[in-house]
Amino acid sequence: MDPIIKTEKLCFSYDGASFAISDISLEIYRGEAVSIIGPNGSGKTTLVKHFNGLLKPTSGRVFVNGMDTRKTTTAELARTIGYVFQNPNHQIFSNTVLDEVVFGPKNVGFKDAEKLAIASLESVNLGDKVDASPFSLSLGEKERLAIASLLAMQPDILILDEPTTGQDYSTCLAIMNLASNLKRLGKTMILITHDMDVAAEWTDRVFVLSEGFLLRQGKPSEVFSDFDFLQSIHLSPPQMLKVGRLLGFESVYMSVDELAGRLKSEISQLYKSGIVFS
Amino acid sequence: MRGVRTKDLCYQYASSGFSLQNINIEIDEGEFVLVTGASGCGKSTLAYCLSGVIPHCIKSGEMRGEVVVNGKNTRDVELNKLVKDVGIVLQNPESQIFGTTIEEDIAFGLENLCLSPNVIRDKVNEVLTFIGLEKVRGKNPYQLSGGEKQKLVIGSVLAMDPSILVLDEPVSNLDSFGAEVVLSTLVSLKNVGKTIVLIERRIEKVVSFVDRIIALDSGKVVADMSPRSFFKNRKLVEKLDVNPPQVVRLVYRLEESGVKMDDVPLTVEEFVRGLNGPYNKN
Amino acid sequence: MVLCTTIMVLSLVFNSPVFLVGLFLVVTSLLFVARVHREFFKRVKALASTVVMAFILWSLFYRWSLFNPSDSTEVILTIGPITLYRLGLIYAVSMPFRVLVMIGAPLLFFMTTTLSELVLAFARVGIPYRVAFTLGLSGKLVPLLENEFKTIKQAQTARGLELDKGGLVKRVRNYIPVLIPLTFRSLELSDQMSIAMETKGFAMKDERTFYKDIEMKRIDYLVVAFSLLALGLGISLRFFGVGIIA
Repeated sequence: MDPIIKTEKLCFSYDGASFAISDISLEIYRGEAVSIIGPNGSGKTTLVKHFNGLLKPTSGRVFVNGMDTRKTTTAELARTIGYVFQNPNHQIFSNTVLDEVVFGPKNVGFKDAEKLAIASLESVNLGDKVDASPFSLSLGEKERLAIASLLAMQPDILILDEPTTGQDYSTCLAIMNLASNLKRLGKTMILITHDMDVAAEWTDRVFVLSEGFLLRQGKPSEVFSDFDFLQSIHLSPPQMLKVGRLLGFESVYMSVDELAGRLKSEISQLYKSGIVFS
Repeated sequence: MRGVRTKDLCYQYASSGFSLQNINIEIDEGEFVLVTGASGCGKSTLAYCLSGVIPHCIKSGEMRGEVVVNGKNTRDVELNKLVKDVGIVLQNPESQIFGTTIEEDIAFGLENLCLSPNVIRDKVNEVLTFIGLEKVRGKNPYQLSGGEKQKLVIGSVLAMDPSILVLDEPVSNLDSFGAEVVLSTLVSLKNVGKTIVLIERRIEKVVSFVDRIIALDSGKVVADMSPRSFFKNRKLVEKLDVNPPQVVRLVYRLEESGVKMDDVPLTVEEFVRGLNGPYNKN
Repeated sequence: MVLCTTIMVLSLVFNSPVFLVGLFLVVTSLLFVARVHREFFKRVKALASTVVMAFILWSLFYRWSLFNPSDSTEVILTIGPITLYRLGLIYAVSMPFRVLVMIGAPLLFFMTTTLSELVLAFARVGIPYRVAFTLGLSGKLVPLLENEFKTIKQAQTARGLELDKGGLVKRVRNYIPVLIPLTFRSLELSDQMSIAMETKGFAMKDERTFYKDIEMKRIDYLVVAFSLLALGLGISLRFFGVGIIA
């Protein structure tokens, strides 16, 4: 199967003196949910900005759906790949929520932009705020609005840049559930995050960047189990993995639910035999 | 009384309802308190009131009740006198750095206070050593990483020697490494006797260090207790939309299968220690 | 600072290629001393095509218009309707150097003086600290806002906004989705900045002490004296017709 995004020895330098990303070759397949993780300054955003053509390679190549990004404009790529920036306040400018969401599809030439906008707002649970001013929304609502604005453009690939940073717990859940739904509908999801918990629970594969290099890629259960590796790049594994390790479990449990499932039956056995958890 | 207390504090921004309602809290010298709650609950407003930003910088709303810092009423004392008692660190380090070099940034507040250059020099050296940036003292602050920038901001506020430090979501934009850098600085500050009021939503890493959690909901205080007591109250935690540490969530799930607990673990180690039986033999 | 202004003025005063080349060499060597020559050459490279074009234009289409006319315009070459005057050639050689000096001298100044030194200099000279500080602050705000501007542009481009297309009116309209978020962000940032300043004791009064101070050292006095002397000499020489060709 051909990858929907492919980079070949991608290098990029902002100032001609040092490289923000070096020699990155990776493949992302249609319908995957992947996360790109790493500390601040590791090149995550720089890498991903190559996917929709905002940055062009200093050397190496990037292919999106078979198109070479050096020969395609960002506007053209916007039809395939939607990039939701980290801070919704960098995007919001319209008088009403509907106007805000209609902007994108109109730009890429959809004739039924308004219909698409309304559908998109419904899918993020903002259908009742169509006439509201986007500036009056809460932080979580603004993030959902930003996602809706890009969704309305009907991209095959959606990039979410730190969607859960600074959000309340329920908003985080809502956004990640939305991401899972979109994946189920066939979209390819790319998540940039430094939140290990989110990457562990919600994505199929992770790409770990540090200082501009792609250090590792693989399933979260493999990558996050290597505690030494994580420590070497100043990332700490999610608590659930640490608990599993300390309890000597061989299988890797990525989420609270998974670990609870494993412990539940065993603990209630112990509890019944008189051993108390204190 | 050393520390900060509020009495029937209310605040209303010009165009909306009450952002804070009847807040009565007391924070003693040397305590490390976490203030948390969903977005919009009034945490930042409280931070501003505790540090004197309200009523001195933000004048558009109405403040009722009083805030007393180290015995001084924030309404009666000018801000540039209050800064010696309480300092505030905001979310975005870039908007809080004013020096062209790291040491000049730390000196900024002291220059404003008209201290003599010799005193300033000593203080700057002291702070640089404390926050561990003395080797890069002449560098451009913008070359620092996010966590280091926030450390610098803390240092520049610390230089004025306030006994109370208020921090408004200082790590929400930082990665986990940056957050750790800032947190360890806060722990060191607590160890030298500073009073710390930390407003945060990312609480997993902090809860094992704080003495108390004060939770706000729609402008009212709904909890003011130790972290363990706080997390025992699952309904409250969920209502507040706060993300508890994963181990706490794990304990909640286990509770559903009938496992009762005496005390809530706040860290991975505590959780594992709390499990008796065969597990501990591993 | 005074030195650089002098150099700039001198370059305007003379138009003999010899003098201008001389000035250019002075500036370049100073740039080397200050180790900022790389920046300079980067900028020059960017302008190279313009400079070369200017050279060609000036040499081919030279006409007397600003200075005292003279009849001794030697003609060097004539190709069809285009005449190459000797004067034209000289002019064409000297002007680019003048341009380079005008770029190099300010660059020298800005790259060797930090913002805080500039602010201190203003304060010492007698400009109230409030004003000097505000100038310094705008200096800091600019790169910050530049970053925001870039990010906002990228965010909107990712939504299909094409900023380079269309006639003038359309282009201005295209920038609205960039300017509105930028305005809000700058308000947010400046709000935070003013709170941060005030909670560090900054008040809009002028008393303060200075941690680092700049002093007029001996060498500074010498440089100022030298520059003023050179300036005076230059201007008087000009009056006597030295350093001007025709």
